[in-house]
Amino acid sequence: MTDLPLVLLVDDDEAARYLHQRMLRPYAALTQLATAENGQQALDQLLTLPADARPTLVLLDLNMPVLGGLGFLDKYSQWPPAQRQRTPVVVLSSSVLATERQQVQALGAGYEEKPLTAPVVARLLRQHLGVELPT
Amino acid sequence: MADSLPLPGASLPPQLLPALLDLSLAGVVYLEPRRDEAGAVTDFTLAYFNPAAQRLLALPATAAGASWQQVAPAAGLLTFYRAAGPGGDRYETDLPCPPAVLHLAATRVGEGLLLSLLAVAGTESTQSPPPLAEPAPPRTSEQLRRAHADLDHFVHRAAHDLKAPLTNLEGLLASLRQELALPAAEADPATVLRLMQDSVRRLQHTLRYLAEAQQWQRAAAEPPRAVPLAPLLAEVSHELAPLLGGGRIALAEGSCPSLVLPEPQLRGLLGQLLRNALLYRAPGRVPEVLVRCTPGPGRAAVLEVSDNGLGLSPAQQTQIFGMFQRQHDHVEGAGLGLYFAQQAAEQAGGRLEVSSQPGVGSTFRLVLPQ
Repeated sequence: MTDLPLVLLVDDDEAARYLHQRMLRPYAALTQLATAENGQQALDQLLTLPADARPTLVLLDLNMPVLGGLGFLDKYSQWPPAQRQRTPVVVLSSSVLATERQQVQALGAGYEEKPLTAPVVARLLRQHLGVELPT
Repeated sequence: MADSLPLPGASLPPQLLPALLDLSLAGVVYLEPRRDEAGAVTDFTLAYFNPAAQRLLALPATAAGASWQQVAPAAGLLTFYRAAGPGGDRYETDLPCPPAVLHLAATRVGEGLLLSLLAVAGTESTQSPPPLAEPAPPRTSEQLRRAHADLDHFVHRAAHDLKAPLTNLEGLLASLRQELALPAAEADPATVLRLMQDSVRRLQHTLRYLAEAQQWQRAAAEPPRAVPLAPLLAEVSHELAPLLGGGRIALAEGSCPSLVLPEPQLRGLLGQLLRNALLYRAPGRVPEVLVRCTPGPGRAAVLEVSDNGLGLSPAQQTQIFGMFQRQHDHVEGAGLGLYFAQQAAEQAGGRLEVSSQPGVGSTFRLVLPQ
């Protein structure tokens, strides 16, 4: 086990996961990456990890089978704040209704357009993980 | 002044009543009692009938004032009239009136009797055009609001499902260029190509469910008719043969012979329910699906599809009719089948319900006005 910050990427779409993993490749020496294919898998992963090993960032898709992004947020937002503090969630979606975006924000998550771009990845990792690529 | 405005639909100006009765697709008849010397009611006089009633009962235009018992002695109205109080009680019966069967509702109003008549499915009639079912009740503003919100959601989701794989393809194409620029030993173009293929498959999947949505809409626009159940079930079962896997689809003995609905709509509904029964089979159990059609409350028919499959938890039972709701990962699908089916049932003035026990099986119940 390393102490590198962990990013959990939640998306049912394998191609989207692959592309986001590629975007994170430059940070491979600085971060660890885990994936989940839907909200339920993500919750299960969070629950099985000890609190101090939980991800430092969850990147969350919205439209997923079994448990979608909003369903995940709905359940996750009911956790005690202290449990959630370590693990902020950022929703990634290619199109979000204004109402959906409000729901996302009301449930305490951030929001970014899909697909992620290199500058957005750099900003997210700096902001949430304190990680920056060596120049 | 806002509070003096009439509510739309709250009341019908009385002067419009004659026009409404002339226009009505339901037959309307008003009967006055005929009494013998002892004052007992022995017959009725046809005091009024509208054009639809004249057509349904095949009355001559001169029938006003004629005897009801000579028109339809089997209707049982005398018995009802004698038993009914002067108002409120309602009586319904089916009245054979070859080649059609009429459904009759009667209520006593003071001394007289008001009748409403509709043609319902003929039994074995082949020579005449199939009788019309009662038109589906107009949608309420709440239903319209919901339909509008549903459409909004559907279009939004479809746009997303077209955009996401296209966005992926764009990213994958850039990735492929990068991979091809790498030394052969480090490059992995195969993964990228496989994902590109997958994105194309997702686009096709989206186009398929868009086509399916259009199919359901077209099916609902067809005219309703009495569709014989057994031959339709045989055809639909035949189409589903690849999913059967040694299982069996049976029609319960004594099921009603036909159902009144647009044929493609009934085919779609039956196909959807049977497909689900087979797809969500319980592991290690040969699927047994029983289709049963029985008369329901009022003029409804109830079509049940029971399986011995996986079954649904109470939570799942509340979700399955939602749009894009998928309960299982092991079956390909958009999560739209039961949504479309319930919409179709509601468009036909009916409803679709489920009862289920996890691990035992599910019964889908389609209640359709006839």
